[in-house]
Amino acid sequence: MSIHTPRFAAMLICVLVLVWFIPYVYGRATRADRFQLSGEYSPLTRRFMIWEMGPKGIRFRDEDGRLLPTREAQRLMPLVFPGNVRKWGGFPITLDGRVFSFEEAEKNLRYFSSLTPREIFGRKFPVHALFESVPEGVSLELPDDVLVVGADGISFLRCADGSLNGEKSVRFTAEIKRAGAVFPLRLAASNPSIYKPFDEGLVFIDGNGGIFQLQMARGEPVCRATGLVAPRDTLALIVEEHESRGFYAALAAGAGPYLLMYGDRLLRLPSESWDPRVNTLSLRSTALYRTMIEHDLSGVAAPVRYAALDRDFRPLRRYSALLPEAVRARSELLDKGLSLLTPFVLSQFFDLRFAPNPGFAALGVVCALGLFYACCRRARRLDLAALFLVACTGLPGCIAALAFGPLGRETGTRGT
Amino acid sequence: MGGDIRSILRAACMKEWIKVRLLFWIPFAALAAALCDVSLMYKGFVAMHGAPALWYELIVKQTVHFSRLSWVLAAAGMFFAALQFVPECSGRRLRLMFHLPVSYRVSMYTAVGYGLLLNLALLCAAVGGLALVFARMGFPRELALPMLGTLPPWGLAGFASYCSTAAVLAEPRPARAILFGLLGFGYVTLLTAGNGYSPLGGNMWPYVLACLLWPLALESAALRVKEGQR
Repeated sequence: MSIHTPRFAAMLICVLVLVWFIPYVYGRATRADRFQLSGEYSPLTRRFMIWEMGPKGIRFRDEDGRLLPTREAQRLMPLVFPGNVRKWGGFPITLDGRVFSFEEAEKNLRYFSSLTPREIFGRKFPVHALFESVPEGVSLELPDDVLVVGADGISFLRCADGSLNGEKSVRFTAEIKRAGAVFPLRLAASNPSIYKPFDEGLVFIDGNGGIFQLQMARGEPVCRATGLVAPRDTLALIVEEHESRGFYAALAAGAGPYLLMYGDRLLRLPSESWDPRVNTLSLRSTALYRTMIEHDLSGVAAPVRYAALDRDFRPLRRYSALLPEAVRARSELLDKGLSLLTPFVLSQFFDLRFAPNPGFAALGVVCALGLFYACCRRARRLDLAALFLVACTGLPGCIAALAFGPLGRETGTRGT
Repeated sequence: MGGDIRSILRAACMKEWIKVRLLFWIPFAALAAALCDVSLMYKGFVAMHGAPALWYELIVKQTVHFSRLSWVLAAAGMFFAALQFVPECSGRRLRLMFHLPVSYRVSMYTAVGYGLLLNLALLCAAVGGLALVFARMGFPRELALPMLGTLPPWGLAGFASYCSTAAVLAEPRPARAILFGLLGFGYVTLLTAGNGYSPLGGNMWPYVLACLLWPLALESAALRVKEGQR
């Protein structure tokens, strides 16, 4: 018996499309309400408040799982919900022996959530915005040119017509070289938002790993070496200015997440489970404490890790929370259903993986084999080559074999 | 012998040219219209918000303003397949292909090769046209190249839609023809569903290889006519 090559090709296409399309449609059809955990360290109870975030808003629990009314919960986190707490007459408030006004609480509240796999591994262009750091008025304006990082210098292109501003390019490149930076640069980043309170310019890591900062003050370049050396395996650099002026950039390295602090300090965040491929890390800062939250995107069974840090980023308390049993059970049930339907899952980026539940994937293959065998018996023809395909690919293979078979050119074998 | 093959191929190519010569320009005209639309949209954006706002939207948000080209390329694949295979497959004429003194593969793969060239020409026209639009807007090479890198997967989707449409037309059994159509739709969706510029990046080559299976799938549909199977 020989294989019918054109039909085999049709079956392979069918399997390829189905191992992508089945999980894609299944995921959309079974999508449940969003459920996400977050949280905050309460300076009053000195324990974490767990936030359960869904489409209907946030529900608050304490570490013991007790559900708290919104008002009571937010009053336990006055520096995170200063607006509401002020309305309820909670300000000024004394915490840790310090008196905080509403204005101070609001000014120091900062949420930083850019350390995600998408931010770290996403495509970045060598094209950046360099704002005027000393603007004429109070607000920052989008520059009318872009900064392009090249192999041996930077250049400025006018947005109006794409022409090169040669004089500015030479001037700024010379300033960078004067500061001691070596081209080609390893990484560079700026914050292109006009809504930021002020501008810290372009932060870059030069060819030797040194961290530099380039700003434009009244049209003139100001470049300074911070004297810091970035970790060798730095993957991404993110610049974000905030009025609280704690840090102005973050570095994602294989060795850990780092913050670039004012006063030229590079500080490693005390993450205990850092893996930039699957972790998202967010940091909420208040005038008193910081709360670091790490989500593991590899599966619903992974815990969400909380750490309360003091103003110097020293850990005060750690806590791990699992998603509620009902959410995990539903996710596991959906995984079983998907595994039953297809033993492989293909994502658009040609990332072919085994189904999440191997046991149910095997059961799905057995069911597909049974279905295929029953169809063969009905047709009084056992197609062994196609049977092998079904054994390897489960239901997608079964659909392909039934639609495009028989696969063998000689098809006389009778079923029992 | 070599001369025979050359004359057979020339005749087969001539046959394909006769089939497409009157209407092949329609997808190119649709492409030109879509490119004009992109150019005018950029012009309007600059007039409303200024050139820096446009540039920073492209750099930061990676907004794909030219996504209509994906459907032009996919629809063009269907159109070319219809032009070439409707005359070939209607009225059980496909059977004749298997009774010619030359191998059916010569006729069929010449037709597919012709279709591939048409799709390729359209993709090149799309890349060239979009490059012209970008050059007119003055976009830097560092930005324009990744933006242009969005088009090849769509070109591949055009070829898959071409082959699947041809398979739908060639397939004698309606249920299987519908399945070929759905597979084509799924494959096109897979290649056009990404966000941002060059969404597949270095992951495109497996899809290029997988696309090589599509002409064989078309052959499997045509062979059912020869084999008299339903």
